[in-house]
Amino acid sequence: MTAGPVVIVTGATGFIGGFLTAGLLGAGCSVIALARSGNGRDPGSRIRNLMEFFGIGPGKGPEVVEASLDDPDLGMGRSEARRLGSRADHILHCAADTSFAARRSEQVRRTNVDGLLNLFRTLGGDSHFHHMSTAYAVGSGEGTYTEELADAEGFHNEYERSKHLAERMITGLCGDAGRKLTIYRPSIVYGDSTTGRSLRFNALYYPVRIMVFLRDTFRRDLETSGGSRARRLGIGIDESGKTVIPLTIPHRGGWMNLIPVDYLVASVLRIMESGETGVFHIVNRRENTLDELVEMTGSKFGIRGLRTVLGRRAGGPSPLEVLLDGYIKLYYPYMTDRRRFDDRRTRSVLRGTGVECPGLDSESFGRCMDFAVECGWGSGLRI
Amino acid sequence: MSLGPLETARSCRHYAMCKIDYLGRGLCPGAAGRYYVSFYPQGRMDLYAAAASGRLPLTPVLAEVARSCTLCGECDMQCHFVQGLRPSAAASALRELVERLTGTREPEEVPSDPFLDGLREIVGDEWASNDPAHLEAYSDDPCPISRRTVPRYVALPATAAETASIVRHCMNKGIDYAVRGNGSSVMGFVLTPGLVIDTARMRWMEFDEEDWCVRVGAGVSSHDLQRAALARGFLVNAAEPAALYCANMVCSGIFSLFSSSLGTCRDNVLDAEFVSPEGEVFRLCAEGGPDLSFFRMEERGAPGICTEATVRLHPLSGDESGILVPFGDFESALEYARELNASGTGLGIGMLGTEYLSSFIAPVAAQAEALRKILPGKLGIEYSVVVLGDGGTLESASRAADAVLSQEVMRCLILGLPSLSDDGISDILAGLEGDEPPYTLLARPEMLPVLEAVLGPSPEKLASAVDEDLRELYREVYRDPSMTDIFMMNAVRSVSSRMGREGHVVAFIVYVPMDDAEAVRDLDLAFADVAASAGVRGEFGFITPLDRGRRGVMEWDMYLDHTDPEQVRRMQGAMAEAAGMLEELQSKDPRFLWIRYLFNQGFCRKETFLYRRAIGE
Repeated sequence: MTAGPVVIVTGATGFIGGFLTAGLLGAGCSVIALARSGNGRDPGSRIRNLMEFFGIGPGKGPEVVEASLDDPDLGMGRSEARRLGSRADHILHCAADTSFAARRSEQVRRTNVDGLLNLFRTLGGDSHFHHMSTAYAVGSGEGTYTEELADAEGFHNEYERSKHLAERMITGLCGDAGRKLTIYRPSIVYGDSTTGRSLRFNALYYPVRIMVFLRDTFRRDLETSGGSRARRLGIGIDESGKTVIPLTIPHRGGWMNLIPVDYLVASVLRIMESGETGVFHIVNRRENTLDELVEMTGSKFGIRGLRTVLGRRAGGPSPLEVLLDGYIKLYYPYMTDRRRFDDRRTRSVLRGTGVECPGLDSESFGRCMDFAVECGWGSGLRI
Repeated sequence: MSLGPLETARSCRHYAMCKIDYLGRGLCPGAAGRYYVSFYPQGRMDLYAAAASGRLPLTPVLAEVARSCTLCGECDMQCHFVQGLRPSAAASALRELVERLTGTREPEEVPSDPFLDGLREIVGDEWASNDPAHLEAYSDDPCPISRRTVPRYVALPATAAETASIVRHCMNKGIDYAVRGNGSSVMGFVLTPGLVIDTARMRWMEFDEEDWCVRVGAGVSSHDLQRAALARGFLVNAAEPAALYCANMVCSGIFSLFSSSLGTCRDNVLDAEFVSPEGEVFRLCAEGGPDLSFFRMEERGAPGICTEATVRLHPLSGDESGILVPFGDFESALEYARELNASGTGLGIGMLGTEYLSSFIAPVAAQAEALRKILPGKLGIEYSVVVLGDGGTLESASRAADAVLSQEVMRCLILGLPSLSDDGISDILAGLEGDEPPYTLLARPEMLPVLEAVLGPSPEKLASAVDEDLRELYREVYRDPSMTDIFMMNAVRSVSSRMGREGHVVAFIVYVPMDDAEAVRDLDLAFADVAASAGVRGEFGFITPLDRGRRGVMEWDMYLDHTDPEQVRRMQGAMAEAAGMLEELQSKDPRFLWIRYLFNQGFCRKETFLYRRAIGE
């Protein structure tokens, strides 16, 4: 056990929670990970596997406590939860349901709003509460948003709405209880910019994964089965050996705000250390356009024929476009975003620390995608 | 994993699929013209299990059965296709065992007795026996509550007159008898310490295409009847393929997916011939005969031995096909099936759970297991509704659905299943966190070319999932388009026995108020509770709507390894608990009826049990 502050982390088996748990341990904190079973594994083995992923040896990981935010008493009983809450100097709440699908709205709200309420009420204590929100909790408008609670009007999905409601709720709860509160609003998070490592492969990754899947499938058809199915869809191999996949992605301009997880972790740790409260935008001032991402995907995976078009496609979608559209539809607001996030408070804390947000370029994109392919887009991870 | 001969023999589920030529490849040549169960692969397996355990003496019949096997291996394909078993190992072991025994001694004939002599006078010497080898094949079934009972005799009459004489002979000599269909009864009802009357020799059909009916002898299987009807452009309402049509009628009436439009029980029978318990021949429609039209809420004996039935033929338009409509929840699927039936749409309708769908389309157990996870976990398919009908019908049914897996998509999925089980397209679809469940994308017609490229559907691809030495046979079988035709698969039910591939099935069949989704769902959950508390595997099977969606027939299944005493014990507990639950339910709510009470009343009119309250039952 280290002598550092005690931090209770929720969502430690998730992407952001996992990287933050490793970061906190590395910073000498004593971490209590609230986790539940999942993917056929108990919380203990999930956390063990997570520590192995980060190269953190046995005995150096967090204390694991099984808990479910769906239960009003977290599934551990109120007195036990109170005892646990009283041990903490900080509570870092990362658990969230990040689905954008309308059909999962109820579950998203239950996890992101009710779950937070259960956590806050049940653990009690007077620790500093840290709430992992999202930059998109500000609503679906345009323009620049500042680091403060927003009066949002519209949302693209229930995820945004629930995070907005959660921010307001936790602000009220902490205010009433006289507890310190810090809200973190990251934009879209991808893998580690230096190693490419990640625990989750949606958002930025998934459209790329689909392209790689299509490339592999149709190359197999072309190389071993005569290629009639590929040719029917206009897919071929050009003289340089690249796979030609004619696929057009319509868009409405705008940009994507992407940050690597290492920047997120470094920022959160510095802000926690500073003791500052309030809202912090953890975002990238160098956004990427859809064109850039399409270009990076094509060149990384040897695919030609991908293009974007401003406005609508001429004609209906091709079968390949149907598949891609199925996913992009929900991410569309984030791929063609017109929101900007003022991060002056974050930069103020980070000033002089050397922590800077790198842009996503072909090199870091390549590293991230190499790792994704290597771990089977997450299927090789056992967390 | 291949089983040894003895394990294989003991694993036979007695579904009698080896007695019908459902793959169109011919039956066991050793059984040709012999009719006794003992000559079929099912019987050979029973005989080997008994002989290897020292339970069976060396008799002429044992030797004949063993030697009649040509070791052609055809039974492997037939049995593997539905049960995953390879009976030739047991048949071969039986031959070896018998050769070893006959090397040291002569087979010993079992002496006749006056009762047997009487039987032989009626049916001829060949068709009545007391040889233990024949008797063994009629002594047991895998039902957890049936008890092995070796009969003293077996007789195979060829006509109603012979059957009547046998019944009178039994009456005169005080011998109990049980009537046996194709050997697919798995509830112990065909076991007796007396005489087993096997109706297998009454295998004849007379079609009257002008009046749209067919006369069927008691030895005709549902499969053979349906095949013959289809060849003439007609459909019959037939169910389990290996069940004998007449026996099935007597037992419970016949319900199938087609019951949604063709009804059940008396709806499809114009007339029938019986041999009464007194040994008299009577006809269903003859004056002065017993009135079997009314259901009575009591356990009743059979009205007699049904020796033939005249059954309705339903003309087909020739463009019948099928679609599968996927759903993410029970209530939506139920409501869709009900509404279709209420509007008179669909020649056949069935709401299936993932257990059925997975088992039916997967060629091997491992893939069925994988599919059971993929369907709900990755594709979002918890339930599906199969709709069968002509082109116009299917268009209407498609318009009423959010997503439809067409015949083409289903063929692609079936023949490309090994690739669907890989981490590939199903993972991709699962990750598409759209507003609609992943299956909607699968259902988009534009996706078919992608799906075809991804899955590479072909008989070769499908065959790659099975043991190497069976691949060529599977390729041959699946080159026949009817094997992936949703309509044909349901009409001849070539794959329905696959539901028992991973364990013997104990089926609970209940007539339910289809128009009260909450009540039906409650029953589904109650079954799940029973199975869970008893520690047995159980799953929702299917529901077919009846009578314009007012009622439905639901099957909920529990599974066991019938060779494992612990599983048998647990299943006995589950059956007792389920029985209590069903008794209570139907006594409180007459819209429910457990099929137990319909047993032996299959010739009644369905309205008399579907609407018990209305007729004061």
